[in-house]
Amino acid sequence: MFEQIYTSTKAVRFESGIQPGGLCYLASWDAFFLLNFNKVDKVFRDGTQISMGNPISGWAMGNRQGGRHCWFPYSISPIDCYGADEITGQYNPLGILNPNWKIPAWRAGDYVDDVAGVFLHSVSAGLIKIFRLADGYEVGQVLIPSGPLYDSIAYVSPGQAFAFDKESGKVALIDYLTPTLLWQSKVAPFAAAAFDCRHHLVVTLGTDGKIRIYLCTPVPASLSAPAFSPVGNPYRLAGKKVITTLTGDMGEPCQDYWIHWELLGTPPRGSLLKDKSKTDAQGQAENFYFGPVDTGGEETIKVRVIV
Amino acid sequence: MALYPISTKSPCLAYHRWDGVLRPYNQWLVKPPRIYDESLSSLNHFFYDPGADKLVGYAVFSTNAWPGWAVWRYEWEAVSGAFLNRGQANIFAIAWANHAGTGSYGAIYTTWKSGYVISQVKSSNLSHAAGMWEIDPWSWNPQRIFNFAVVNRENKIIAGVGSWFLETWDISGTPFLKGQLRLPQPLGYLAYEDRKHCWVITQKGLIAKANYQIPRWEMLSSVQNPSSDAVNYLCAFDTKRKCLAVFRQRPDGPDGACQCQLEFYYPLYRVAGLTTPVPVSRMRAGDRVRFVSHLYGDTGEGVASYLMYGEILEPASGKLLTPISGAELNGGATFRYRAIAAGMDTLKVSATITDGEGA
Repeated sequence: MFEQIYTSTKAVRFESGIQPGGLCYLASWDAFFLLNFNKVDKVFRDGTQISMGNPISGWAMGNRQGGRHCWFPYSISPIDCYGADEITGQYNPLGILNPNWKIPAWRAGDYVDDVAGVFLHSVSAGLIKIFRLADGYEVGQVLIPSGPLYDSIAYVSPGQAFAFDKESGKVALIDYLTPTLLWQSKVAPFAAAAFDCRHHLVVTLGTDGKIRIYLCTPVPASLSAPAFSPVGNPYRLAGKKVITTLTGDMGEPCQDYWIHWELLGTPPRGSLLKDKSKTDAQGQAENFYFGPVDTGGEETIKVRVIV
Repeated sequence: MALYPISTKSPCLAYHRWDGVLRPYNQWLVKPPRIYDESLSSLNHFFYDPGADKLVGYAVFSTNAWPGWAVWRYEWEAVSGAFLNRGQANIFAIAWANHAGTGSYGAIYTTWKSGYVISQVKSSNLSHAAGMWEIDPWSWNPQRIFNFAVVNRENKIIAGVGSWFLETWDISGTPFLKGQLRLPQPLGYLAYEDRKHCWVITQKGLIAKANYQIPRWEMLSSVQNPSSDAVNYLCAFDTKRKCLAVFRQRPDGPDGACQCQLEFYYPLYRVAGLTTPVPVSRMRAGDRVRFVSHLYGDTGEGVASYLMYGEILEPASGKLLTPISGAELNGGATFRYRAIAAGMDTLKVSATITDGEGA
């Protein structure tokens, strides 16, 4: 579960009571573009909402590389996908992102990376397919175990995207160039979600109209027993790397947490290089253990995390 | 950029009082408590006439007198919007000419309901005379019908609107479509500013500025206090004073009095609001926590160039590391704060806005 840091007091109003057709973080605005039924709105993080026109009827919104959005006409197939103007958020009639291959199957919230030249389509439960924009060739797919049919795919960084499911709140980070599933996590169920690629935050719009902001670091749920790497016993005074891994409730790594290290023996047998270290992107914190002069006996290493 | 309101002239039209003689046309006009025998139906043309230095409008009225309608040519003072004059105009200025506006060389141009051409016309009666400039978008490939057009003969560019798109055509040789911009809402009026820029006002009061040569949008804002009862908005750009005049058509008052108004705006920074500071990083004692707040205009456009001040209200336990921050182009400003220990603090963010200050 991602760590939530903010809930807006203001509530975004859904036009005609209908849940929004999409939410996208626009890097140039440092705010969000909301497809709100028959209106388009600019929404700030605190829930301030300003109407800025009407969308073209019968079109849906998708996400685009770099913190932008794009538009699809959903009444026809195969489709052209259009870039959007950064001032008005409206589609750019001459800005077709897939001039060489019309997209035959797609969903609102699908993702276009016109820099890497790929289109990501959420096909079915847990399955995201990746197509080459140049010719429509399927270059790969990401299968997310027990994953839902994702509602939107949003840009995170070059080659990486988050897939969001509003009903379950499930979030999956994928590398679509490799292509692989990096990890999964969760937020509270929502009506629409976006990824703030400037501050690296997941931002959701709840069914209650409130904006919720989550850090991409999951709430720690499990800290593994410290283990030597590579496996084996230390030899006398020679140091040996020891690792512990901090993960969330779905096994996702928890980055940037301080791990406290301690030897429990009285007196301690051997020593630790550091008494604290920080978890990296894989959720791992490392230390070095130096054994005593005599190799016999046992020692216990205790690790703790301060949340 | 946003729009800074300079002044408003309300009402900008005065109706003729009913003389008490009941005539057979539009008797609803004089039904109590209404006391005027005419009412504005629509303002069909609205532009700044650089030759006369006046705002000009052509309006259709419903009247109680024969024949039940009238067409008037209005003139307003360009600075204050004060009414100067009105005179009977030819019905063809309304029935044939579609939407007239200023263009290059200080001339007036219009599209037509009676044809597809765009023509230079006389400001005095919107008639086209032999020898005046004209072009026919219906002869282009693909063929075009424009309801509104901006004419730039100097650079040989036409920017026109048929329905939802502002299109730019290069007419230097065989006309070709340079680009299109989708309008955020149905168009109210299109106004020429200079060889590069034009202004768009939508029927619901959004105002956009476009560089029609590229083309690209450069600003999206709105009229101040858009009223839900507004029937339509029209705009004209005063090329002498570099300000935008907006005609807001509103329904008549209970006594039938005109409630239409002229509003004047400078394209300057104007702040409509400041968002609550929101944390965008992890909140831990000892960590530097970043908060972001935005200064925004009427349509959410970022307002830059202002300093924003942060303050931790007493009793304060943490420390604000950046008490002053400048608004970026998107209007956002970042404040850094550090808490000594777990607890609660209140961050207050403010900006001093100098009324009327420009960029």
